[in-house]
Amino acid sequence: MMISRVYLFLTFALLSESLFATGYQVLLQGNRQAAMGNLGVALNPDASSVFWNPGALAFMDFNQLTAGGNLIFATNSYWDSSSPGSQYTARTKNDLGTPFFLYAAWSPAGWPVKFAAGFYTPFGNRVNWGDWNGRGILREVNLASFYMQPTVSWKITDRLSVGGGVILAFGRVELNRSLPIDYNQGNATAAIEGNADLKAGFNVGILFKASEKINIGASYRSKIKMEVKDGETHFDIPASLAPNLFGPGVNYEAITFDASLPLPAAVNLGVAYMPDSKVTISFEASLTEWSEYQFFALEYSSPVLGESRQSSPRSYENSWAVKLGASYKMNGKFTFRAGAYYDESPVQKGYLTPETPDQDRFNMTAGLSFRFAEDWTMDLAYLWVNGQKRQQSYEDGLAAGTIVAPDPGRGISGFQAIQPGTYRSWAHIAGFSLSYTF
Amino acid sequence: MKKLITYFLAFIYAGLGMMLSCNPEAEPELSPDKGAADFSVYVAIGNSGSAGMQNNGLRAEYQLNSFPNILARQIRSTGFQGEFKQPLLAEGETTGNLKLTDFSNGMPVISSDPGTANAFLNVSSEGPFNNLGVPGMPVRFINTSSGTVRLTNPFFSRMFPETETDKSYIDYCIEKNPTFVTIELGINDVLLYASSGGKYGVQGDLRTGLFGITSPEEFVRNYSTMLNRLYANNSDIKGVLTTVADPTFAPFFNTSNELLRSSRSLPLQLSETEAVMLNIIYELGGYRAPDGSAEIFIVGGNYPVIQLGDSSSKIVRRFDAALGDYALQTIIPKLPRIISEGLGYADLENDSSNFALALVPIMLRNDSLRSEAELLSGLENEKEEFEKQINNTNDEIRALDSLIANETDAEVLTSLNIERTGLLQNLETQEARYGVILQNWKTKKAQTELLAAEIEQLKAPLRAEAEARATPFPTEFVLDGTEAGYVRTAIQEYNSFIGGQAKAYGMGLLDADELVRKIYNGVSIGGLPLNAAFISGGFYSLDGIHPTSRGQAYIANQFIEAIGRAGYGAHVPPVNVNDYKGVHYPE
Repeated sequence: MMISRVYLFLTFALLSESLFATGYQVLLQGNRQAAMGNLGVALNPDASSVFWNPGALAFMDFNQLTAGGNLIFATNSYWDSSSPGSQYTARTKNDLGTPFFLYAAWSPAGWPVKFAAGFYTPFGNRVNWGDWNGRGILREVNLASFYMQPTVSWKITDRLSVGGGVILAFGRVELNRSLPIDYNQGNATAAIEGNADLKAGFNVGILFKASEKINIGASYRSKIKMEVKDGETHFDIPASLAPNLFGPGVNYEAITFDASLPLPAAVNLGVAYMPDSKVTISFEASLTEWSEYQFFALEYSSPVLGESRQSSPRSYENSWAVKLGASYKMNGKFTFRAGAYYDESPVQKGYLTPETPDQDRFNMTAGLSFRFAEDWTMDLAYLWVNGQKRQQSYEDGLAAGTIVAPDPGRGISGFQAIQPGTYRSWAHIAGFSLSYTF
Repeated sequence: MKKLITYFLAFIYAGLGMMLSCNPEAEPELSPDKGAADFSVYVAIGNSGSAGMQNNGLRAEYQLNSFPNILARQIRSTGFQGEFKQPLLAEGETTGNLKLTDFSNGMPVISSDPGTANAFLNVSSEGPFNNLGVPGMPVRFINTSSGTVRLTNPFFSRMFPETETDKSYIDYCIEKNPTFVTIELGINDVLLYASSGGKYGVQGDLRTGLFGITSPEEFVRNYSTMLNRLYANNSDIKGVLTTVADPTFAPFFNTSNELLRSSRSLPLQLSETEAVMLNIIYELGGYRAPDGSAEIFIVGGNYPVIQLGDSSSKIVRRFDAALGDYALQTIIPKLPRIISEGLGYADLENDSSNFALALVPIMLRNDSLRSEAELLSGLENEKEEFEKQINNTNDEIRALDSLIANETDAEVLTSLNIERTGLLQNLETQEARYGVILQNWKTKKAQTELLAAEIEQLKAPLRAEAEARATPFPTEFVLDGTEAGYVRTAIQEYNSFIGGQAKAYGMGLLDADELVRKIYNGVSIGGLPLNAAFISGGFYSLDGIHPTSRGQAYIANQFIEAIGRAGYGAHVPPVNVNDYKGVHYPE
């Protein structure tokens, strides 16, 4: 019974993905944590500590199965501030983002070791600008990643436990942009889609109970390089033009692409303070090693519009997030939670591409747990993600190399990977999860 | 502690509530504003660019995407509520337009929709119009009576009442009482000259007054009259003037150069015999190189030969992009004839009269003539040498004679006389040899002349046919470097005048010349390139001169920028260029 429900949930979830921390990180891997300012490394553990801090799991004195997810209603807005006097604005029509997670933690009673496993979606991105004025750069992107993580945690002493898991990751990417060709079907388009190869990484953590009232935790999740090999391309073009775009005699439907995208490592450090049995306050700082992401490059098996490689710089920088959260256990049934966090964007000036229209964000969170039966708890979370307004000019793009002006005299055809203008993003995120404790 | 947590929770909840109520959109910070401009009667004064011509024709669809119409739409956001009336063709009507029907082996197949029956129906009853863009209107004719302009311009005819014959284009512009104008005129004062390869010379076709280059004096005179009268009618008028763009940046002037350069099937490598034969044909046909010689073809690389100057010119030379030559778009259909009929070289197909064979005796005799001429000049040198020697000897004898005449000493006299006898003997010998040489020279000269005459005799019956078979590219297919120079010089003078007028009247200025150079280099609009490449560039329509709707939208934005720069405080929002179509591709 249980299994079939989980299975159904899983197949549904696989159809869709997610967004929402800065960059293309998601960070929604447990609604208890999400409601407390999206922190969890130093909290007393539950099954979702598989993601937040595998080292904490051994302190669980219960077994637990948790399934949950989030609904992300995200919008990016754009104003063409780089054209003097422009009133042009655009808004994304992003499909609903639905990151999800599934965790289990189990051990025989009294063991100092906990066995656990998780299935979750730490990175993802879906942005759909449609036929906006930057359609030649990007119309739509869908990026999804799935992590599976069998985990073991060991309580070394009554105060210290460590743990770690092996991550098996796979993912999927879809991109779509317009070509400068008008025909009866509208703008011609070029699209790519491909599944990333299975890759391995790890997630390790440590929890130190400094006293009855203070937890100190740290975790480190390794980077994984997502690689798509022989992905599919789709060109909606007038067929008569194919020899001009791809060369004479080329079967353009068979053109494939290779690409890679780093899913960066993250370090989390946190402290939790529990002045009494009802209250928890926690502070956490996270560093995501975004500097891994220097270039986005696509390599085609055969030249597309004369280019067999498309590459543009990203030059992301490592970014910090600082988070504060609190919870209050009112009674045996209800616990209320709230938090706030500031999330620094890894995207530097001149590199703000439409697929990740990213800004520094100040987010507020709230939620509650409802223990509606002896063994069952339901968690609800709500997050308001508020991106700061961010402006980027044509000159910023030139300076960054994300815009190269054409110069036929020197044989430079030029390209444009950013759309100058002002961007802003926001999202409402609702979370729901269900935990069974045994 | 409990209190603290309660406060914290309350703070977050309140914060969330506050954030939900604020607007997170990225929004325009500046509202459209007409500033000191009065957009209530916007009149577009101009030519085919203003009319919205595309693919060498007019259709309602093209007219609706003309930059004045786009601009008028954008101006609406500043509060302008009036009409912007255009002399629209009825839906489905066309004055005749090119269309891209297919790609065959990567080459575009362009066909044309013929003009429809009612395309040029007079629509003046729907006027007066705000868009007074008249395709083909040069500054030269803006002050000419409509009765005359109508004779050569059906686009003009359809816009204004047929009964009126005295009013000039300027009169019609004033009649509408414009408060705001865009003036896009001047290209037609050089374009027909340029696009016809200077076929009629800079004076143009004297019958129609077209195809020439308008003299800067006449240009300035008419343009000044127009501005004076507009300001006399309304001293508060605002607007934007455009300079005249160098037409050679458009694909009409560039695509074929590329085709010629890349055409691997051209007979570019000439052997010595071929070069000699072609030179004879051209010489027989009466053609000369610009330096007057008959050395038109050389051994080795040769682009096709082009006719320089006007269509009566017999001056030809090899096409040379390095000399600033532009092969025009009209040459494209002729390119296959380079192979089949030797266009640009000589047409030696269907040689039933054995014309080529008849050239062989001439070529042979030319060779003998050359060696004979060498011999003759050798003999001539020798002859002159002896003449010099004989003269010298005579001089010496004369000098001796004068000495003898004045000498009294008998002994000296004797020796002088002996010397004189010696000189006389020398002279005799020299004269004897000279006689032989002279005879040789005379014989050789006669032989040479005979040979030359013989060659002339052989040539004479071939001249007419040679003229027919020498087929340089007619001048109308190439704007040669000199002609392009005339166009540029005129444009420079027009533009310095227009720039000065914009400043003097406080009008905005759109530098169209700079615009076409920018497009020639290429720009990227939201990741979609826009440049001057034929068809794929998206800016120019199939005629290689008139912009596409996308091009028109880009131009409209340049006008909007010029309005912004003009200093009357107007902010007109630019248009989203990518919402407009470039060249329409077949399936």
